[in-house]
Amino acid sequence: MPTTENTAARNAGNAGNAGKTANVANATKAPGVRVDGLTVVYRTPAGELPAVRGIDLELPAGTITGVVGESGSGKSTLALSLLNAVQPPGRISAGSVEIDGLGDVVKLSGEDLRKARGRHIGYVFQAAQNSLNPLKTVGKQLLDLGRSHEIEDLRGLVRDAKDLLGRMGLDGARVLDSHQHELSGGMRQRVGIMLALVLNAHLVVLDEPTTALDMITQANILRIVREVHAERGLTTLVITHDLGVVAEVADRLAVMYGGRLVEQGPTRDVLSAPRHPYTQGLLRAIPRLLGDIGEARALPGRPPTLGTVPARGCVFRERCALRMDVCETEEPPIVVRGPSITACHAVAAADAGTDTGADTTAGTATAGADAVPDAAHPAETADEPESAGAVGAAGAGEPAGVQGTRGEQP
Amino acid sequence: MITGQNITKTFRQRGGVLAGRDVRALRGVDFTIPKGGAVSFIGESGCGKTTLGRIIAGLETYDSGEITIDGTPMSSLRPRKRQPYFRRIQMIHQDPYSALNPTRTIHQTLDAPLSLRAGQTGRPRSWVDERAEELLALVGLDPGYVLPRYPHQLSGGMRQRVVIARALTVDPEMLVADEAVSMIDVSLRLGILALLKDLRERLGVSVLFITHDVATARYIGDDGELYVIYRGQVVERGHVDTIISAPVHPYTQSLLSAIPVLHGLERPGEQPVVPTEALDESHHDAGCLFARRCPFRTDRCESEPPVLGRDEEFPQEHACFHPRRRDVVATPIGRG
Repeated sequence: MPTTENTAARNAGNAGNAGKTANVANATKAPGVRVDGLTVVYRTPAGELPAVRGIDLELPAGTITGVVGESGSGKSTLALSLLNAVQPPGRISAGSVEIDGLGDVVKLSGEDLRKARGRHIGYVFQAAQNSLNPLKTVGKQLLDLGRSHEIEDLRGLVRDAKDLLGRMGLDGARVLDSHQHELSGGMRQRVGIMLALVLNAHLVVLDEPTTALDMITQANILRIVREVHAERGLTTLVITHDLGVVAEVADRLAVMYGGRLVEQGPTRDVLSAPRHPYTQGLLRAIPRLLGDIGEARALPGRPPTLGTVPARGCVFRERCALRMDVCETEEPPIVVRGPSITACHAVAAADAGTDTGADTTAGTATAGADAVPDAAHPAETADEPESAGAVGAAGAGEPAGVQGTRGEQP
Repeated sequence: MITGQNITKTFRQRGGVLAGRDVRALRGVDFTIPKGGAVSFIGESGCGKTTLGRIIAGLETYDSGEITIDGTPMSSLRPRKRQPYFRRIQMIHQDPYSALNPTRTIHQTLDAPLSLRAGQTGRPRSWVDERAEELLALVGLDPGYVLPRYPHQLSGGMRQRVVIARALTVDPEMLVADEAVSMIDVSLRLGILALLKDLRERLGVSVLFITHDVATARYIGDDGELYVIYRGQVVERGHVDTIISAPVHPYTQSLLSAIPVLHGLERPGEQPVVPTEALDESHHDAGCLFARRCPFRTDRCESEPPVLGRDEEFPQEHACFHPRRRDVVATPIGRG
C-alpha cells in the first residue's frame, strides 16, 4: 500500500534526525500493550483519591479491545494513562504501561513523550468537534501537526491525509479546505481518526468515538474503525459507556467499575455468559428492541464517584445482590476461567464449590442473576439517596462515616 | 388530547455563511396525542423531532397548520390566552445539568412554582412544603436529603428526577421528554424510563418521548405509538412493537439496522438496510425525500412524493411506494 510506504519512509528519514527517538521509530506494526498494576490518583481536599486502581490489562497486538464503564468508572483516565497524559491534579502513582517498541510510557517525559504521542500513539478525543481549532482549516491543522513532529515531506503528509479521508468516504481535498463548523459531527469524527492515524501510529485510542452521533452515522464510524484497524494493522483501544459499541467492534471486552477492572474476556463470551454481578446487571439494564420488556431492570443504587468509592473491599458491593461479609473487607480475588477474568468473591465461591462441573457453576451464576431483580425492585425508589450521602464527601469534606451509615441497607 | 394538523416550520438563515439557505424543519406533520397516552418521535438529529416537541410545548412558533388542545384550536386564541393551555405541557430536557439553576437549592427550585400555584388556587402556605415533599417522593427521591441541596450535590439521575418533579408542580397533562435519558448513566436509565411510565399509569399524564434510541421508546408503555420522522416528515407511524418488529419503510429499516448488535446475546437481522448515501439536507427532492439514499428506489420515487397512509397489507401507516417487511432487527438468542 503506497500510503504506508510513504509514511514509513518519512519516519525512517526522520528517525535519523532525532537520534533520541530512534528506537521508538522501529515500531512500524501493531504493538502489544501491557498495563501492569496501574494506579492513578487525583488530589482532592480529602486527600489523594484513586480514580484507577491496580489495573492489569493486556492489549494483544493487532486486536481491538473495548473498555466499558459508566461515568466515574475511570475509563477515560485509563485511556489517558496510555499516553502518560493524565493532567494535574491527577498523577500516575503506581504501575507501568509497556508498549512494544516504546518501553514504559510512564517513564517517558519531555520531548520523548511528545514525539511518542501522535507518532506512535494516535488518540481520537471524545467530541472531536471540541478538539479541532475553530479558527483554522483542517488542512492547516494537519500541517501544524506535521511540523511539530518534524515531518519534512509535508506534501506526502497531505497526500496520506487525503487518502485516509477518501478511504473513509470523504472528499479529502474539500475536507482539508474546511473549517470545523462546515463539517457534520460524523465528518469531524472521521477527521479526528485521520489526524490520529496520519503520522502512522499503530496504537490508536478512541475515547467515546460515537457519543452524540446518530445511529446511522455511528454504524458508519464503527464500520470505518473496523476496516481501518484491519487494513493498517493496528492495536486499537475503544473507550465507551455503550456496550453496543464494544459488541460491534471489539475482540476483547473489559468492564470497569469504580476505578477497577471487574471482568474481562473475549467479547462474545462476556456478553453471552457474564460472570460479574455488575456486568450481569448492566446487560439487564440495557433497553432492548425485542423480547420481554419486563425482564429489563435498572441497577439499584448509582455508580460511585471519586469520593464515594470504598477504599477497602469490593467497589460494587453497595449495589450487589450477591454481597457477602467478605466483600466489605477483602479485595475480590481474580478468578480465571479460560480466556476470561473476573474479580468477584461470589464468583470465586461458586467456582470453589464446584471444582470441575462447569454446568453447576453456570447454574449458580444464573441463580445469582435471577436474584438481581428481586433486590432491585424494592430499592428502586430509594436507590439514589441511598449512597448519596457521600456526594459531597470529596468537595464539601463530609465525614466519611456519614456515607457509611447512609449506605448501610440490608 | 392534543392534535396537530399539517404543521410546518421553516428556519430562515439570515446572517453568516449560511444566509439564504432555508431549513425546512417540518413539512406538514399531523399528530394525535391522546389523554394519558404515550407517543414517541424517533429519527436522526436534524429530522425535526425536537422542533416538533418544542412546538407542542408552546416553546416554538409554527408557520402554518393548527394545534388543537382539548378541542380548542390555538389559532382562535390570542397568545396570552394560549398560555394556560401550554402551561400544562411541560418539557424535560436532555441535560439535567443545565436545566436547574445552580445557585438555588432544590427547595427554592420547587418553592417558586408551587407558591405561584398556591396563590392562584388559594391554598395555604403550608401546602407548598407538603407538596414539594410529596412530589419528590413521587419521583423516587428522599425529600429530607434532596431539599436542602444544590444541583451540583446531586447525581445526573437525581437531577433528572428533580427536573421531572419540577415539571409536575403545575399538574401537567403532558410531559415532553426530549432525549431525557441520553445523558444518564446506562445502569440508571431504566429507572427514569420506569418513572415516566409510572407517572402515566398513576397520574394519567401523557408522555411525548423524543429520542434517537428506538429501544428506549418501548419502555414508556406497551400501548405506545411510534412516529418515525425523516427530514420534517412522518414516514412511518404505528404501534411501537409493530414498527420495531416489522418495519416497512426503508428509512425505518435503516435506523433499526444501525443499532449495534450484542453479539453473543443477539443474532443480527438477516436483511439489514444501509442507506446508499449520507444525509444531505440541502438536497431538494421532487419525490420521496429518502429516495436518494434508498437502496430500493424506483423512477416513481424520484418524481412523485409519497403520502403517509394506511393500506390493507400492513397495520401501520407508511409513506412509501414499495413497502416491504424486512428482517432488520437483531433477535435475542434463546438461553440454553
